[in-house]
Amino acid sequence: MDIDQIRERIEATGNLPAPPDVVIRVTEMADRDDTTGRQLGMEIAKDQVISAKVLRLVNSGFYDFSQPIATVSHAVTLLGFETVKSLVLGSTVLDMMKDALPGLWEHSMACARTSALIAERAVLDDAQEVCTAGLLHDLGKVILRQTMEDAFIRVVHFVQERDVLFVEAEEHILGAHHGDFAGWLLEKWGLPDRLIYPIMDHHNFQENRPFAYSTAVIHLADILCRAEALGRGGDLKIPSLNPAALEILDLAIEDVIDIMERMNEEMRDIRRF
Amino acid sequence: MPDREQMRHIPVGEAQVGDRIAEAIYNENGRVLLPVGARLSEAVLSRLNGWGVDHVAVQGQEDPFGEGTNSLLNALEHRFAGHEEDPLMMRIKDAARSHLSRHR
Repeated sequence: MDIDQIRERIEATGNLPAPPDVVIRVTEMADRDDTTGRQLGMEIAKDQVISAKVLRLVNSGFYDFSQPIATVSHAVTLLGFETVKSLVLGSTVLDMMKDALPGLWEHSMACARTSALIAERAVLDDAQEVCTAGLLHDLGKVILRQTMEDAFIRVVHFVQERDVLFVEAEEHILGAHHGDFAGWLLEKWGLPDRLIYPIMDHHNFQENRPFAYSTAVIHLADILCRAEALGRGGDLKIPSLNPAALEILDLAIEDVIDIMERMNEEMRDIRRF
Repeated sequence: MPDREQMRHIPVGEAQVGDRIAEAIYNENGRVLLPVGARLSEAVLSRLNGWGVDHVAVQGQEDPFGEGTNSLLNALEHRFAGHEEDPLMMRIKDAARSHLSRHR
């Protein structure tokens, strides 16, 4: 199977759990100039399961609100259309993360919260979007499992046998990796570039790529969560940190150590692996 | 319902009759030899080596790298093996080690 066939198969996916109808509907509404936050909130609220999950995410600790958010409309007002749209997507795939790989859900939640800590330290202004990218950065692993289970199995087998990173096994076997898979699907679903690029590039940070600041955050967050054993990304190894990611964020290694201290204090609710 | 996320990776020689498989075992062609939840029998155990399987993931509280804090530290060593020449990664490892050794 060449890379175009893989892309075709992923883009054509109908296998993802909640039909992406709600994502499409919300995307259409969010793109119209005359949609109000309340209307968007009400549209999401029609689906009780989705809205409960969105609220659980909103209140799960990676957005810094002083009190719990009780309605989706309120979440839209506070977080903005784009972030809530991404959370609707996130809520449809989080349960699948639990099934896709042991520890992936914990790793994703930890990565979202770590992204928030890094964004705060680096004084980035779109911290909320970055958190959402952190939450969904390994979405491609879920997509791979859902769309090409045979290939997923070969990747898992290769990881176990050679003790390599999941991304290395994907590249060896498929010539593409979970960043690509997520990028293709999110683009097709009309999600914004500033969410797509950091997810697509988190294993390949380059400072001249679009949204490099956010990508640097996700790249670092992924590595710190693995170092702190918060969840698991489908393998037992850790990728190298690209020093250029620290440079672009203007962070010294001492800042990174401080961030790790805060992770250790604030993420006692997440299981270590 | 056993917790599928509680598992340990062990050499086949350490697997016991009655252990439940936590990660499916596949052959080279991706065919499932043993599904998640399958119980290891005497017969299956004796066949694993012949299938070319040397490690299995079994369900249970124990961790792949031992028990308690030690397992986290062993897993940390394993994770960072190969990064010894990278000073940034070694600083990160040291910080993580101090956190993980205080854990539990």
